[in-house]
Amino acid sequence: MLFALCRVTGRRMRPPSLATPLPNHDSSTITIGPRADDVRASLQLDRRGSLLCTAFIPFLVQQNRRPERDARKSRAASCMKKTAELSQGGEMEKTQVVIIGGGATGAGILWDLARRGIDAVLLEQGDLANGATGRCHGLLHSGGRYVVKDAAAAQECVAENRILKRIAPHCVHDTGGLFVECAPDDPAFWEQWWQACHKVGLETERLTANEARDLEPNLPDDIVGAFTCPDAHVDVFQLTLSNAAAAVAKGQRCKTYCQVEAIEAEGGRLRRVRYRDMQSGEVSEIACEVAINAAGGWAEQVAKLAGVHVPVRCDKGTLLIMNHRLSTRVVNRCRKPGDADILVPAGPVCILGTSSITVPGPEGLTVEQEEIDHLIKLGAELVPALQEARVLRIFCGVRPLYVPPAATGSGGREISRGFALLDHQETMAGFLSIVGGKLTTYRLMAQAVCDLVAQKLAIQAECTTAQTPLRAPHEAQALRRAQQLLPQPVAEKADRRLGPRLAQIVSAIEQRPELAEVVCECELVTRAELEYVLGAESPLPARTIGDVGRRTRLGFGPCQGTFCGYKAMLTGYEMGRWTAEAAASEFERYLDERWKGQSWIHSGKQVEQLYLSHDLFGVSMNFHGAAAGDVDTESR
Amino acid sequence: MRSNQFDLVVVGAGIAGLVAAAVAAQRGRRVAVASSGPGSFVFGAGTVEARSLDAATPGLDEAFAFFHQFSGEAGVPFLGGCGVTHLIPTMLGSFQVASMAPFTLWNADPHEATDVAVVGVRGMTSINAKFIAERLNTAVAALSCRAQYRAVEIELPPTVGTFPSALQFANRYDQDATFREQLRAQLTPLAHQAEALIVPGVLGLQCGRTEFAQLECELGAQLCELPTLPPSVPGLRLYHHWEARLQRLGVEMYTGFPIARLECDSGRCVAVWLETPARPLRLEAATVILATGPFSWLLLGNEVVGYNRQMQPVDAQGAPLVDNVYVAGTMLRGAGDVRGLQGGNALAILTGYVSGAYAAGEARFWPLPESLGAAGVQYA
Repeated sequence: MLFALCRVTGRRMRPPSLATPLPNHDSSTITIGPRADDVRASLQLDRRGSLLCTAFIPFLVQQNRRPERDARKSRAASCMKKTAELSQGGEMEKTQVVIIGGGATGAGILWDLARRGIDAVLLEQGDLANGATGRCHGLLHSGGRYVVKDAAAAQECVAENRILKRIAPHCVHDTGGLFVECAPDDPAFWEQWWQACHKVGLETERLTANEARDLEPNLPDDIVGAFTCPDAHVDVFQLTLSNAAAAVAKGQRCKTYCQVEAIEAEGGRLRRVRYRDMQSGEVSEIACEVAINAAGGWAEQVAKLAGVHVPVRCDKGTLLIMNHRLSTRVVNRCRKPGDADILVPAGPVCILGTSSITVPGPEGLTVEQEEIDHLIKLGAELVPALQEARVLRIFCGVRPLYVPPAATGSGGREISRGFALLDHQETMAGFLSIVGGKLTTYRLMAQAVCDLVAQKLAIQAECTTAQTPLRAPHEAQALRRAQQLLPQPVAEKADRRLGPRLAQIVSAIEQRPELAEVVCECELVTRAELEYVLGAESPLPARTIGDVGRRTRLGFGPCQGTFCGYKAMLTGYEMGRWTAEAAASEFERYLDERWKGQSWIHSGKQVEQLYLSHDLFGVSMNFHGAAAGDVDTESR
Repeated sequence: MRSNQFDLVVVGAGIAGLVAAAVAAQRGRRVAVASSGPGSFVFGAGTVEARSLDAATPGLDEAFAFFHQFSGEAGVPFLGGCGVTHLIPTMLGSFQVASMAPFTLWNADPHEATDVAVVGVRGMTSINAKFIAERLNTAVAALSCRAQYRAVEIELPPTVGTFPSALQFANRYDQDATFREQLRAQLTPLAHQAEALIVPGVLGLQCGRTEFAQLECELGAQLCELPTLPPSVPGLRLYHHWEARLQRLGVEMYTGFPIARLECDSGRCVAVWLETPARPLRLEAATVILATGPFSWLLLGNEVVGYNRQMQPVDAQGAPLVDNVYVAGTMLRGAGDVRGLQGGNALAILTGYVSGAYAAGEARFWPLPESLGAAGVQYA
């Protein structure tokens, strides 16, 4: 018996292997049957991390000869814990960890915890990537931007850049990048930059002006040269969704449109989190041992719910999306970081940014005309064609910068882009905050958080996210079938977005040929894909038309959802997701959001496009707009 | 007169442009219409909103009377008039409030019909009959009308290898008698069970008043057409009929060519140059009317800052740059606030008529209403 006890208290609990993904947990997978209470008692871990085994012994006797018993035990442990929760019959949900905030960091934590066998629930007040993650360049930094001022940050970027290209190739478009030596800039800085790159191990080559212009014809005529670097574009939505979907496949829970209302403790220790479903209005509670504040720009507000002060400076950056790609590579200006010195090719468009303006909070952001003119003027020094390019959309996001108590009132770019992991155990044991950082290092941030969480829960599990692909590779067979049913570009895009899920879409089209219809012509989204993301089988179903956009890029093209958003609404209605009135209201909200990002554009073809959309829905259809909806039939 | 010499060249073939051409042609002038395409007709059915222009606006009565007459002669009459308010269902399940609309859109005012079937076509995903019916029922409850809408579905064979669209069906309706038969056969049982049928815009571009009335007679129910998203079949039908009528009046249509520039000399515009293939085409004109929509002010060059109440483009001092060019239609509104968009068609009819009349030597002066912000308006 003693011997068996030692086995259970063994030093390592290896997390289950990825080879066979876990089935969704339900009570039917549990065949051994200690009583629920006994199981919970037997799994209680004391501070030294040893397992107190009482009623566990019968289980042991059956299991201890099987080769993967460690893996199974931790999996079973997690299963059993959930069964215990479910079979409790009580109202309250339970989990080990609640993650507040569904940006890249939050989703990354959800996935990392899943890999370590730690049960977690993610609560996000909007859709995933609602905050800074969904409102940035989508630049996968090579580190070149930080290499002179912040070598540590640059080094992190160098490593994480390689890791993300390996684990998330379907989210990353490895465009490569250039740091351009522009005529007005300081040659001493270029030398500094070059030396600093070598010091941190950033691969770079020096190009002559002609070589640089051969690669990028849109660069100015008077450049002096350029350096190459491994910058890339990352689809921020696909990245966040992939982390969350992989985690959900392993049994984690992810709830969007759920806003945290209260974080409650008893005796100085975190007990539960209360949240409201913003669509249904339902309020629920979830008991947990650890809560992680990964709320980015809202981190200060969330921390307040726990009675903790986390000072976050909100630094707004405005970005412009141009209607087509003006470069094939990421183009940076080789100088001290400033406004409008990055142009990122992002699929069929390119994104110019950005600015740095302190704002009071993460919401209610507006953009001034001067800001836009300033960005275009500066951007045109880097790529002159920007002056004439069609601006498709303007958006802004907030960099949540952690202001350590020691920092004085320095500017947005001076505060370190490093991150801070805060353990608030003096105020509320079990409550953590992760603030600062940047998209490129989200995985590293998640790793640091999960290391601390594992330590707090006395679970020994190492981080494996750096080696684990986020998604299984696509199947060539599915692509061939898709190519027979769909036009080539449509099939290719679907393959890239869906990966292993493509087979499912193809089967759906084979059964119902009408699903091959292309609903969004700008981004080539088929009806099959639309129904998939709106359907219940999707790991992270779309709850709004905007969600559909983030999952498929529908509405991201020149029409900005005027035609495809309408079709998406009808599809949601047809599938029973919304009643007619709810669908119409949802479409109005979607139009408002799509219109807002175009309303700041003051010249160019997009103004006509916006006019068309307003004219169609506001006037012709009398559906939505300033004067729409009025059916007053008093005769004049 | 040489073949490229005209009394009037109208640039832009939307409502304003065609009305201007019609007026001048009817008054005996030699007219050409140059345009890149069918203009605003692609976008919508030409419905005129009720709340747009004040009834006392100078020239309005005459303009609308002309419009009615011309449209009727073209075979696509408009119903309604100034001061009328009539509800027209839309594909989003809302009601548009119109004072005038083409005859195909008129028959589904909820105050008049009680039992209406909204007809969807299987596979044609641009409208959803159930959605429309559900929303219309909610809307009429708020209006305290007795009208009730229900969704029904018919099946029409699409062209192999394509996805059905309204325009595709409309073209087949025009070309294929079997198709017309199939449609009629599908609609007949539905017509027995309802007072009125709302069908999506599939009834062909050539279907005029007579054919429409005949179809209603055969079915034994009122028909109402539902405009779909652009390209608008009812709109294109109007264009098709008006173009034919204009050509019968001797108007020459140069369709499909964008305007390159206006050639001006000593305070007059002498010619319009079109971007035709191989070499540009020069149309000499005694008068030019520009009706090219709200985003085309660049045509007139940087000195133009707005227009006066006689619809002539003016410079910063308020003086007309040339004395034989008029601006008509939504071009007068410019690219201003997108929220102030209502009444575009009424504006187009009025200003098209007035400018066409001026071009034909009209002696009277109909000043533009103040509400348009005439005289020194700045446009982006």
